[in-house]
Amino acid sequence: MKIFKAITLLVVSGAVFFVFNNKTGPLPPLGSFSSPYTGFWQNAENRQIEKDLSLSLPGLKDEVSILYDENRVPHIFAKNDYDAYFTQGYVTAKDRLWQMDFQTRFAAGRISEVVGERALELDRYKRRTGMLLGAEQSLKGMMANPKSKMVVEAYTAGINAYIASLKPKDFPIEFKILDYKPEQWTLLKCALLLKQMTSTLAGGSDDFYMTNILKTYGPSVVKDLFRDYPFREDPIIPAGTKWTFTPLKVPPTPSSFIAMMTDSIRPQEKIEGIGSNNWAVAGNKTATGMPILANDPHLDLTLPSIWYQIQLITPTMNVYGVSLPGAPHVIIGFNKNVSWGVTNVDADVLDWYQIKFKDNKKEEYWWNNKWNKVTKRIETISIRGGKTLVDTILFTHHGPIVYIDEQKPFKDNVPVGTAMRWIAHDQSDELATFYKLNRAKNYEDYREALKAYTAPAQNFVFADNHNNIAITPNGKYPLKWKEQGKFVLDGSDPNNDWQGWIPAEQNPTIKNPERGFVSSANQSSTDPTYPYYLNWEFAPYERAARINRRLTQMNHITVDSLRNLQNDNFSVQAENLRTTMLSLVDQGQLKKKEEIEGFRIMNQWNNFYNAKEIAASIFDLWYNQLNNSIWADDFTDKGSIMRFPSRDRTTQIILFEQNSKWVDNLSTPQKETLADLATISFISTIDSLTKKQGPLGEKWQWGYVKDTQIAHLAKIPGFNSKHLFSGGSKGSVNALNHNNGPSWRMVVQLGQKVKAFGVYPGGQSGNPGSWYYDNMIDTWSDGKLNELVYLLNPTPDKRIISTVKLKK
Amino acid sequence: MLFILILIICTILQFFTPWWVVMLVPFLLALWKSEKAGRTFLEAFGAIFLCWLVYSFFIHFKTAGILTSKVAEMLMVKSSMVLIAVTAIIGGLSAGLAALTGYFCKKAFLSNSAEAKQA
Repeated sequence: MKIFKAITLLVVSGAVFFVFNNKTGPLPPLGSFSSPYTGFWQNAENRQIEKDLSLSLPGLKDEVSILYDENRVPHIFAKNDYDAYFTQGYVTAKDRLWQMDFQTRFAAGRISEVVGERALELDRYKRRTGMLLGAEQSLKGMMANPKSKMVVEAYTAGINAYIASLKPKDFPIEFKILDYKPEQWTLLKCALLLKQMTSTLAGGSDDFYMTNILKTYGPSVVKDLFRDYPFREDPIIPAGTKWTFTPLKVPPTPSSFIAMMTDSIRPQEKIEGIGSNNWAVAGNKTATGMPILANDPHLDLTLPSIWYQIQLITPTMNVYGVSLPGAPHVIIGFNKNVSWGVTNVDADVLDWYQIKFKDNKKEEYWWNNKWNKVTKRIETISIRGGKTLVDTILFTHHGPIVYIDEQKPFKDNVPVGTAMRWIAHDQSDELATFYKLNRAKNYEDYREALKAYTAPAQNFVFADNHNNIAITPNGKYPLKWKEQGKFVLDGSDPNNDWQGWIPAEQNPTIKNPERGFVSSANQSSTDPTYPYYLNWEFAPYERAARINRRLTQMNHITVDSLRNLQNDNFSVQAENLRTTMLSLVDQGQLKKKEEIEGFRIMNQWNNFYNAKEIAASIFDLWYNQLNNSIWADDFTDKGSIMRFPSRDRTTQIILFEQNSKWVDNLSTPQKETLADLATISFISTIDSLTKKQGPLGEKWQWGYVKDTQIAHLAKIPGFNSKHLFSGGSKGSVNALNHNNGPSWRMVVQLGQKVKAFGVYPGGQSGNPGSWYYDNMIDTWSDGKLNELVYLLNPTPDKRIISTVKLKK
Repeated sequence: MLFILILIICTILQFFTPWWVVMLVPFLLALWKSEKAGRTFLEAFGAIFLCWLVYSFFIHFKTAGILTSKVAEMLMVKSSMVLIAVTAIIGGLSAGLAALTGYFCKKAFLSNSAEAKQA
């Protein structure tokens, strides 16, 4: 009996130990996680940081001082460049190690190792799009350049110096929650991180949808609804700018065929909102007589933020700005002489090629009138719990075959797959560009720095102390015939391959234009006279139109007036459409008091998406419903996936083509007019707002309807920001949406003494247990900026709260 | 006695060891000196409950509860205080169970050797 009791208790104790020591479902291992000695308690930080610290770090060449300011921005004073990048790696890891680990795992298709099978499809997709291959190519490019090699090696060594100093109790809290350990940082991870940016900003593609539309409706409908240039546009390089170079001969357009496309996996869609604004104003329009530059990149907003502020000071540079945790250098910022910023270009650098295989073995494919060998790359995905999945990826000379059609057994036709040709697979060295920009002194340095840049293509805005301003939609652009890659291409015809590159010096650029400013908001890079084809569709023009209108009107411009412009909630879309849409509504059909009141509010609206505007909530949903009622019957459920025509084209129809045949809803017997659609969609808008927000009142205000919240990167409950009540919209300069928007706002005033301001929605620390996890959110949400602490020498002042001395 | 021993030894050892030392030490000590089942459990439970409660309270106040409330929301417990209580209970329960196991193992072992002597 006693033995039985003893055994029973041994079993029970063993079971309790097992449960408390291992992850169960989403629960962390409760024993180690809740122990105040090793668990989450150890991640809670005091508000007071230790004033002065001294550390010895093996790997440094000389002494380094890190001065932390009141927002926990590190200002690194190093005696040589190697030490500066080593320390950049060290401090970034100290604040953002888990984010760096997770983002690079995501890029490499290694999330399953941490979370198990539910991430398998995601991991497969990442690997099948050749992310690893791209990162390997990128690394080759970096290693071929002695400077980039030094930088990336120093940065990696610094990260590893931090990782080596960690005991399990010190692991960032997410490692404890997800129950895994930090691993060594590698050079490849730096490359993976940069590839992930390319994937985010230049990894979307509508070619499949366009191909399906072409097959369903034919070329004339495509020409009509999916035009190569918007009917209203305000391009980045001002329209009418003369091109001063002799262009290369563009390859001729081949006659190609389109094979059948069916697949269950969808490629990444292009999402509006992953855009940005930047501009620079010349001295003759500013109060100080020197240029002012502003930039706000819009990305998915997360905690920790995608950006990390840093200042690097060595004998060769003194640069301040935001960096990407996981990559060295400052990406957007300024130094004593120049400032620069970026927005996304959205050139077409991702194409799909139909592959004709010899047989089901898929070992050879037809190209250039002969059979060519398919190469294979074996990818092994480890899954938490010990299982592995082996995935074979087929490569053609175009690139990886991401989608392999399931062969239908009752058909013996040649199986068809599609290969992906993507700029991210090419050897490149983007770090070289930032190395040079960080040290740039003038316009020539800027032009020189841009030459080396490949992807993701960015509109690099620039201003310097010699009163120059400039902007360059810059990247490595394939030399294409017009519309090449608008649809899926025939992969057997060499004429469809990329035929070379647009020479870097012939990329569109403008310096000191007459209007006194340069700007970009992801709209078309140029007017149609540019001799090369970059893409057929860019972001809608409304943000750009508003920025250019305001900048044209403004004089004696100050930092504050540009800050206001960054926070401008005006909607050119509403300005274009609202009165027409209201005039279309049959007011006789508005019966409910909400409908009548809503109509009245809309009538009085000033087209600003301010947080308190009820009209903004109504207009936003109403336009979406109207857009849907015009296109959904024509472009959904047609047996293949499609997309809707652009906002530009829809606007044109609402304003000038009200009798268009696309207006009628095909799924009803009667013939609808645009007035019918406007009325029905208005009523249903009011109805769904009533259902969601209750009776018309305060809860209908745009700030509540939009409900901005900045979520933790792994969406861990409790780690998200509070709900913010804020204005702005996709189509406003302040492009703040539910969960994406201005991820960093910066305004830099050049001059004898550069003055800069900036803020991002988050904090420097990635630790939810730190006071610096989300301390800048309110400033950002209120539309304010922090003055950036730009130090010239390492003497602490009142804004510096702690100093860390690093020794060899 | 057991209470004091566990409290002192575990409080110090945990700074250098994994969390499960709060199971190992009570188990071994109970093998050595334990008298009644209920009391053994309570003393071990109480020692680690107190140790974890005091330490987590200390951290909670020192850091003004910055993380406690967030983790409380994550684990879907109602408040920071509940989370501190849950923390102490997890520690106490692990220690209590391990000590109880030690007690019964000792009993089984002793009765075995007693039977062996009688034979």
